Amino acid sequence: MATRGLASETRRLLRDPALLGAVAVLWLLLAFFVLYPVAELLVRAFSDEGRFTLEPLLGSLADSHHRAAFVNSLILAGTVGVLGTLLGFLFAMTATRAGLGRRWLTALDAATLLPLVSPPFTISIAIVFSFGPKGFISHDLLGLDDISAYGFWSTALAETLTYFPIAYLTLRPIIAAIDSNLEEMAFSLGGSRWRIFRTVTVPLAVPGFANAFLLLFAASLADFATPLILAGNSFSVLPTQAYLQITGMFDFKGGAVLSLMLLVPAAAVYLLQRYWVGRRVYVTVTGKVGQRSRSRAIAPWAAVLLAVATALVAVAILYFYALLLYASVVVAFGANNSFTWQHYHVIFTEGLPAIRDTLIIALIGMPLGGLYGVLVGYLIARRRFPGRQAMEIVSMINYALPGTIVGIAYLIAFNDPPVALTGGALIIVACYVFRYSPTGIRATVALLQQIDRSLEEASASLGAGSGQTFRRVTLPLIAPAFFAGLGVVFIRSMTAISATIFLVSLSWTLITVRILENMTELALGPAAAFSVFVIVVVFAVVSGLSALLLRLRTPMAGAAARSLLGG
Amino acid sequence: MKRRPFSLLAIAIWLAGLASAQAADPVNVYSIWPENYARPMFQEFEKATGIKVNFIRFSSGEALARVIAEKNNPRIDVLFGGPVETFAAGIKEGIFQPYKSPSFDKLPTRFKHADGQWTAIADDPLVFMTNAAFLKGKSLKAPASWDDLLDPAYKNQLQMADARTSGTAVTRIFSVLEVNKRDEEKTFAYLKKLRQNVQLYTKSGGGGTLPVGLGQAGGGIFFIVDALETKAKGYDVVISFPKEGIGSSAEAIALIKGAKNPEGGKKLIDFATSAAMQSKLSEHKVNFVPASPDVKTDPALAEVLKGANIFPIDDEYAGANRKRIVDRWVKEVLGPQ
Amino acid sequence: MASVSIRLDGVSKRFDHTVKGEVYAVRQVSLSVATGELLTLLGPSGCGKSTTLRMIAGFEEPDEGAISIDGRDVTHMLPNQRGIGFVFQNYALFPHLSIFENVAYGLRVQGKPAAEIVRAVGEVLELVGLAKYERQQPHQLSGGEQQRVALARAVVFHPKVLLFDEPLSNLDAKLRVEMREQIRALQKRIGITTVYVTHDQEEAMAISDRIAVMERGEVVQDGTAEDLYYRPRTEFVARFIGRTNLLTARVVSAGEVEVEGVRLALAARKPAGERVTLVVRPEMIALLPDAQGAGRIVQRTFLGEKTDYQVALGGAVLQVTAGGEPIARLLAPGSRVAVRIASENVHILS
Repeated sequence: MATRGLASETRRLLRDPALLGAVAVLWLLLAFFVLYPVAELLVRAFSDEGRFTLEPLLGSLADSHHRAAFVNSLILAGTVGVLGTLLGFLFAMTATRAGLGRRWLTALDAATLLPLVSPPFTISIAIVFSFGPKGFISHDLLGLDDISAYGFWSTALAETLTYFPIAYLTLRPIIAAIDSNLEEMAFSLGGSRWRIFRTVTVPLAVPGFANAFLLLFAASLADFATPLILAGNSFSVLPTQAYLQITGMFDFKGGAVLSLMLLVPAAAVYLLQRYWVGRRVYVTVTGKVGQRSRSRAIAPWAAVLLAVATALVAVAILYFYALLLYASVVVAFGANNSFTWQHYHVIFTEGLPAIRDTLIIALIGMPLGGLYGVLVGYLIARRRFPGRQAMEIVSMINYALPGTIVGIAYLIAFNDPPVALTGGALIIVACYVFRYSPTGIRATVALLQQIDRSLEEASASLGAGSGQTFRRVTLPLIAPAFFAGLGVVFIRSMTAISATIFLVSLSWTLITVRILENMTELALGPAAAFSVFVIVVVFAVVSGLSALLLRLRTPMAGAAARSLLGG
Repeated sequence: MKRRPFSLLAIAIWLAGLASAQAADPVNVYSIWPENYARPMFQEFEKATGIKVNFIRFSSGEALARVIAEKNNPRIDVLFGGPVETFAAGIKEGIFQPYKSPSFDKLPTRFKHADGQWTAIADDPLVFMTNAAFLKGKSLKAPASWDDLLDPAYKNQLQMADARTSGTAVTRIFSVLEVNKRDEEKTFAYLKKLRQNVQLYTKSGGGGTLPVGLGQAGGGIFFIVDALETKAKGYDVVISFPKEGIGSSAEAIALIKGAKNPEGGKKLIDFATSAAMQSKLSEHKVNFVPASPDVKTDPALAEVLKGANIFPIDDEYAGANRKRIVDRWVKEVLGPQ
Repeated sequence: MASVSIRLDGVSKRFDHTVKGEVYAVRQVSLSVATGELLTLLGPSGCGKSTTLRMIAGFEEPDEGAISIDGRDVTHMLPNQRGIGFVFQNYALFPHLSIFENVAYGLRVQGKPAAEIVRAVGEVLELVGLAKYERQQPHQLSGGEQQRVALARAVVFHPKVLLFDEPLSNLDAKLRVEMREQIRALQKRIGITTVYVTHDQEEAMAISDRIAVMERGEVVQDGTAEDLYYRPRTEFVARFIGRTNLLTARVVSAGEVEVEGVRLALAARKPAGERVTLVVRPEMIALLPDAQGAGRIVQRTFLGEKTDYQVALGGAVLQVTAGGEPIARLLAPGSRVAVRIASENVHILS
């Protein structure tokens, strides 16, 4: 039931200066940092000396190498989607059904948190060292020779391990919410456990599966770092291809066209998720997870099996990270394994500018991203004004686009005067804020749906204007979403690379770019040390934020604390 | 609610200003030399002149792409290091400002562009580098001919750079062209055969050295600096040269057209092309062969190079054909199986 | 004569309904509330009473018509500029603020000096009997206490009008009675113009100076509780206010009607043979034990102070309430009775 009358909405907007100001400023920012770069990219791809042309696109489509990369990207994303969802489901079942103690659950959560807060190459490198020729596992343990760590399966494996926690975080609350009522009821009606699993649990989790699959699909589609390290020669994917096309061959047009090819499946996934899956989640997420005792709906042997399988994967993850830690404290990994702090000395001296820049950018981006997220989330969830839906969609564009596209679009759009932002910190901050705040926007919208509108009406009836109401009532209440949004921006600022690799400059560089550089040179030790540093900082900040959220004592804070890493 | 976005904007403007204000006095540089080679040189420069160098390291392809992208609004003053053919490609894009340093006249012709678009600071021959344990395991001798690398024993064991991002790779391809008397059909027939043995084409020139050192790969083709660095790190690798000869690429420096600090840039070029800097190479264990005739090659380096058949890459020919050859390499060698 | 404080002139509000298309939530409502008066909007859920109230508050904007408060047109004015106090069904206390800060909110927004805020909040909390609760958080209070905080918050800044949206529906029955008396007492004490929305007719009758009954977006009758009870204008009002018997009667002559074989002396003002609907309240019907009587007791519900009977009379079943009778006079189900209805207790629907 929507109110009618664009005219009345417009009238209201014009009479409310705070709302008008906020809407105007946000549209200005969105136009400048979202619409303009994408438009520039489109112009670059489809014009030739001022004329519109489809030739580069057709040329790219005709190139069998590019077509193969396109198909490869889809195959890889599909595989990662399926495997990651299964793995996430396994973990979610274990967390909610196997009756693990609190301590074990915490360990499980920590193991799944690791890939989410790590720089993007960590698992890739660990895989090369474990499964490559002369790898710890493939050679030293299994005695296999002539094995290749490069190609489709290792890329898929690395991406699955990197992204499956997203599926876990998506599925866990859904599965936790199913069991108590329906499964037990079915059980009491005499259904066998397997039958219940098949006919009750799985069907109810289907929207969750679809959602998890699409999230993983999109993440894999946008990932350029893993294939860069692991894909090898014969398995090329689009994001890496676009990156090489631009940085290696100086072919902006070609890179832009390749990015646009990537845009088609990315947009399809986004729309599917928003308009199809988003409306089919049967179970509401309550956030009451983990306190439940062992459910009767699962056989004891199955619980053990689940726990063991999960533990194996968790141990594998921990092993990869232990390897990383080890590599950071030995002189030359694989050749000279004597202990040294040298690499940490290097990153805190020569690498200090990168650390400083990254922290400055993350710390500036963090509050801005948090504020932007709650402001947009509040406006689209609570206020009526013309163009509200358009604002929602535009605010999601940079999030839905693969990072490579966003980075390239920013590079093209902001290089020349009068908007020459390349070379500064602003462009990196803006990239992070507009690309990673949508998690905060969604958290805000979700939270506001649980906060009764009457609180804001009460404030208005007591004489507060919309600005005052936002500041005095809404903002304190959506503080959890604010912190969640801010946390995500911080994590991504510390770990992301796909977009910002195009935006680093002389004055502003980033740890992740340094890690990539270190790894393409010989310096594995510093790369590992940087990675460990990033993980430690992010873990500390995330734990701090979670503790803060729990102290806020708002009813929704707990759920928000858990959702901190969900998007 | 109204005020906050404005203050956000204010911070943004301040940040933008901060970034551009920093670019005033020091020299801004994209270095193609890895940091551990470039940093000591820049420190020596700062010591000598008091001018600070801001730099960031990119592989040659990335650096060139960025300089071209920034043409209308250059962010740097000097492009430092990297094979000459990268600079040759840059000339076509009109990104350099010709400049002849005091050392210019003393240099042999192959170490300078006639108009002073670039000047060489060092020479860097390619080498074959193989893992000693690998050779022993397969009972192989260190490869002494290009054709040795086609031996099935190397199947899936070679790592070398990707021509799309690395000057090392381009020099390698042009070496094969020279060996084959610039017969492109024969060259590509060889490269396609070589591809059968390649495990991975890496993004940067030295990307394969660590895997070779660790034994993850059997061998590869690298610049001598990177190969010697691997050896210096303690990895047991063997350096060898093909009897047919192998290319060498001069490492160059150039002033950027429209540089914000051309005077500082010129000073850096003066320093880098001088005997003063190049005599420091051996002191900092940077294993380039000095370009300046006044500087003696490090004795250890000279020992390695003894008897090797090394020829220069004709930079004019390379510059003119680079894009076409790389495109063909991507299409015919990299792409299909 | 009391002056008019709130006036609604032909106010309408439409919604888009996914199935029914455009529907009226409120249609052509005209009302006025005198200064100091308490008007209740009464009706079943979905009748438009809350929407009407929300339009007075400014939370919704009418599609047609005009609203004025104290002679000032506020139709398109934002809620925060109208000077209203609003008490919500769910109290809407700010969960992140203490009781003191909740009540002080309106004064803080106005930028009142701290000393004045302390004094005013103290006074009004005293008034609602919560003087010691200043430092508590809302969730530490019971429902009734929370509602009193909401009330205190709504009146502390001396609004021109006070609006209540089903304020008592979340409380248990006993507390509801207590609270409505408190609200009424407070309203009278400060003499504030009030509009009160409820679906509970007993509450409406207990609290109001005047009641407007709404049905499907329209005001069907507006008057005192007595008016509505004794002289309902429509069947809907008759049924909604109190319990009632609606009887179909045939006009026999100018002064007589017949109901299920019982003749009543009534001036129906209709030609003979026409049918009319009579409203007879259960307590207006007398039952006399009579073996030959036309009525038969179908069911008896003993409630202590009164007894409810269902009496079959011809084809109809009457609701009858008998009050305070000795045990010997209770009628047994199945026994026959004579039914007596005094003409002055019958209201004819037009």
